[in-house]
Amino acid sequence: MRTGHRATTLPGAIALRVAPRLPAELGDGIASKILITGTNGKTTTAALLAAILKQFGRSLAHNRGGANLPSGITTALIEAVTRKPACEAAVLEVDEAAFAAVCSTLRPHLALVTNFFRDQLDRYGEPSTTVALVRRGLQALPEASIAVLNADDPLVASLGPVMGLRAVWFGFEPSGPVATTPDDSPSDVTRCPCCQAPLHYHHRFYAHLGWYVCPSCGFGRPVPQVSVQRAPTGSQQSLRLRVTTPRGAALVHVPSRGLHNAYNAAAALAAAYTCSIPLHQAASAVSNEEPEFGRMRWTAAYGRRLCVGLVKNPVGLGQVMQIVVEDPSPDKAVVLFLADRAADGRDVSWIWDADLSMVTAAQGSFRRIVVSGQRALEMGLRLKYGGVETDRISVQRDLLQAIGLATRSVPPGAPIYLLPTYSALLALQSILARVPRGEAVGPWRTSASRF
Amino acid sequence: MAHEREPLLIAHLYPDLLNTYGDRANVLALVQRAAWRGIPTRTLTATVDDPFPREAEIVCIGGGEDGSQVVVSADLVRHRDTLQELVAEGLPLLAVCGGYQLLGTEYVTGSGRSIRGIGLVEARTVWESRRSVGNVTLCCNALPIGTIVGFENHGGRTYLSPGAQPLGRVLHGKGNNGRDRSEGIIQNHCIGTYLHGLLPKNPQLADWLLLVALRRRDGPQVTLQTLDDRLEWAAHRAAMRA
Repeated sequence: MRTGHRATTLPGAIALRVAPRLPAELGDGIASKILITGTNGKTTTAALLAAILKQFGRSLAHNRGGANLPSGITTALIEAVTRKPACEAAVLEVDEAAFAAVCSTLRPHLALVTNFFRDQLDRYGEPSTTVALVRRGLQALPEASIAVLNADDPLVASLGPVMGLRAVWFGFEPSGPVATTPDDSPSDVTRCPCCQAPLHYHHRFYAHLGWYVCPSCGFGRPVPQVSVQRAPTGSQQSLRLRVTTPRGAALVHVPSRGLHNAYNAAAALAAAYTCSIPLHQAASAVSNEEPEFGRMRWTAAYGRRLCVGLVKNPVGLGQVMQIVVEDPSPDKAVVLFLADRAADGRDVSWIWDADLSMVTAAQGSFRRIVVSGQRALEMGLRLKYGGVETDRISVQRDLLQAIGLATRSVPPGAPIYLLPTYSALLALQSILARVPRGEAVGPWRTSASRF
Repeated sequence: MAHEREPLLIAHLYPDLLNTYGDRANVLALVQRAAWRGIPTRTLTATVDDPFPREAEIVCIGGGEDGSQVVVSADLVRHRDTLQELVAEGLPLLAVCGGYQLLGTEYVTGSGRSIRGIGLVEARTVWESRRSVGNVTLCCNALPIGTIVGFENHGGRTYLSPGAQPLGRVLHGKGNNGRDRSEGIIQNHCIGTYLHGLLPKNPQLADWLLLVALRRRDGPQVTLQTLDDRLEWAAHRAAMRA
């Protein structure tokens, strides 16, 4: 988190100013260090992996709040090494742009790369720039280190040939219930990252993740050591995965929804496999781990069920909206909050790259669709041009008032999905800590503007 | 009038390569704003090695990464003569960012490599290390459509030849090169610009492209029905304040 949350970054920021060598020195005392980077899934994958390691009673350094810049990482290290018993392992999520620097400072034993999607373009520039930044980090790894990499993402796979890199790959097997994306859906990668020839897909799971091969230069999906298949589940609220490793297979229950969360679980299990943790133990930790705040975790406010899901890039927004649309409740509401502060990405054009066709098709199933935030109107336009009827879209720039509007639109017990960008996620956390969980009259002043 | 039911053909060039910053929005805006007026459209896509869709009545090109631009520049050369001829005949064309750069004569990249443009417009681009990033408002002098808003994010600095007409004058932001306050270019009905997320919140520009295309096909008597654009203009004003 780049703004706010001073308690999770301030001690580290001060320490770095006074003693720039501190993180390296703190890190030297930690027996096993794991760094996690990539566009989407860093926080969830880190949380799952931390849960797996904690089973063994390990004392962990973990930047749980998602403070993934050097200041936040240093804070987590200071906090962990001053605690008793002494810190034995570190599970740290790292911002892609900071990854190379953190790798050379901390010299991790394991580095995990989740995926590369278009993200805050004004910060990182183009996706290939981000790939190059992460490649530099992998090049800085100590010789004995292992990289855990997503085989289904051609951009991640293009990191494979880093000199001397030992890699453990994870990936998905197609199976019955996996919805394959139609070919015309937006994708960040249509060309071979090595030779720019058109990439051929046998399967596409979502966005550019799938089974691919370049007919021109032979670049293709590495064969994963840890392969995962979605198994049928009776529940709307969870996933079931069949995980196969060279040391055995297991059925794993994951208490969250969406294919992107299946990938997060696969990443954490692949890292656990690499750390020689028995699969059944890793699986049991994963099955008990509820999503982090802001990662589609349920909470309650004003007697309604609230699900908060961070949206920050086109693929993430599409994945989250798919989950929302699949909710069978006839009384649901959704609040899409769009801001353009530095932490959100100053460029809001990314919303035009998201595939929102499922929202258009299901627009009648919402009691209300609210757009909120400084750039609420841009989100409103996105929905309008995507085919949502204008009179279904309510505009309320203020976040608290937008929640009020959604609350008044649905009966008690009904689900409300709150989908904020980064800066609003922080605001939401403090708002939701203050409001009553049970039915109550909120401090609502205004109604929405309609267009 | 039977010909009015013929779909308006909108060509989206290199959608797989030049699509980095939400430029799909431009095609979507043209399609929807036509549909809301009962004008059917058909979107044609053409990428590397495809024949040029000569029947196209509006052409859109987006922006992309340097690597994609190299691939596109090698292919776009095939269509240089066709495009020159069609633009001279008044074909409306909108090119954004990387697409805009390739319509010029040359793009010199960060590594000093020269990517050849097709010279459709009198502009030359040279990469500089500090990217121009941020919200832009410009006053469109070339067309009677007021302000244009969007988001720029480019390393290239574009310089127009003397006498070439910029799309507008920068009120807020950097524009073509951050020095002469010019943004974009307009030559006949061909527009190049750095602004992303463009047509939905600049409905006047979308309608200008549609009107040019329809008048070119059906004659100068064509007018466009007014739409309820309150949401569009509110978003336009929000972008001016951003």
